[in-house]
Amino acid sequence: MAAIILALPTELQLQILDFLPLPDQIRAINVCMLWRRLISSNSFQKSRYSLAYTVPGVHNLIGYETKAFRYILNGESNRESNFMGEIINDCPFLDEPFFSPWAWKDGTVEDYLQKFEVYLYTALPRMYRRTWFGVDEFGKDITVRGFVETILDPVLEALKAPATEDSTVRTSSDNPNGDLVEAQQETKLEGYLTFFPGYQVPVLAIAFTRGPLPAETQVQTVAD
Amino acid sequence: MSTIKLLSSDNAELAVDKEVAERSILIKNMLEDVGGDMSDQAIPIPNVNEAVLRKVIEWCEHHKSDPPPPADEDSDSRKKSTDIEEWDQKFMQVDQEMLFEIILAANYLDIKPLLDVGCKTVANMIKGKSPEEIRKTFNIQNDFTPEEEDQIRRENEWAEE
Repeated sequence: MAAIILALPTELQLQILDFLPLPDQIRAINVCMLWRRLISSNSFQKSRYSLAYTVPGVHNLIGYETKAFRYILNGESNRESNFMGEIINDCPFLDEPFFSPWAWKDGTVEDYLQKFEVYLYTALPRMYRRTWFGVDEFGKDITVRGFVETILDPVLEALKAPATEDSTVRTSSDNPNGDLVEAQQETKLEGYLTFFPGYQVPVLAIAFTRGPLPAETQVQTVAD
Repeated sequence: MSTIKLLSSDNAELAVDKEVAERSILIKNMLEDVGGDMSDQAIPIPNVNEAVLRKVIEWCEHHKSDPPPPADEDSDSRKKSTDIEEWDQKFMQVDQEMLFEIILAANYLDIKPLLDVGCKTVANMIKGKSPEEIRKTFNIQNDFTPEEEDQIRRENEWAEE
């Protein structure tokens, strides 16, 4: 027996899929070709941007709805992790614009997203912190993947490079101990990107777990 | 209260309160067009069979005094909650064929709240399931090419427990 659900008019299938929260949509794109096309379609994209009552105009992958996803830059995922977000490394959503193309018209994005606070947590424990300037720094057309990689890039660089006071990634003052040189041998880079709503400035947190890191994989994945 | 008659695709004539039938925007507009007097003639509903039509009427009767849905679809409903009230949940406990027939009928008859309940019910059947479980639930063929399959496997291997 053929699947009745796929025989529904596509507009009704879209309505059904539109009711799904983002993590379920991510799973649903892997069900069959038709759903992959429907969910990845331009018209459907619109529903994946947060609305005025949360943080307007930001892709929901990083916005309020999912709160977090894990983008693994390289290495094996740490399965003992109690991280709750979705793990997405390759998903059509990552290539969608980070800022909603529909939000430019009324200026909501520009007003709100002039500034990001990005906290980078590591398992060392050590915290890096940097302020990013939203639209100006990333450009209107940046994709979700581009955004994540832009944010994680300096961290990768810092972990590869010998320990210096880097201008892009600074150690926070409450960590007098901890040595970056030691860290680079042991830290496996696995970004936990979390968006905290409710702050005056949107805050992103990126955590790193500890583990062996093959040097080549690291370079490759960054180049990707 | 005036009664109208509906004629299903399989030629069953069903008598319904006008007020109940007017939950369907299609029927409501139709009645307005003919000036409301359809007491002697059954309205043909060619896309819906008797079993489904009875089910739809049952829903309309239960919801006949609901306030009309907000006109601005984009505002509140954008929250996209898949909560379904208890009566509707029970009402939707039917086999898949009937469920999709109800969705099609609600769409054709233009009964937006019923269409939403139907779509939410299906969405809830998808929620929390893996792609394979979803395929099983709806009898969907996996039609990805081996290359695409491979990519999906790579995407998902991190997620395996």
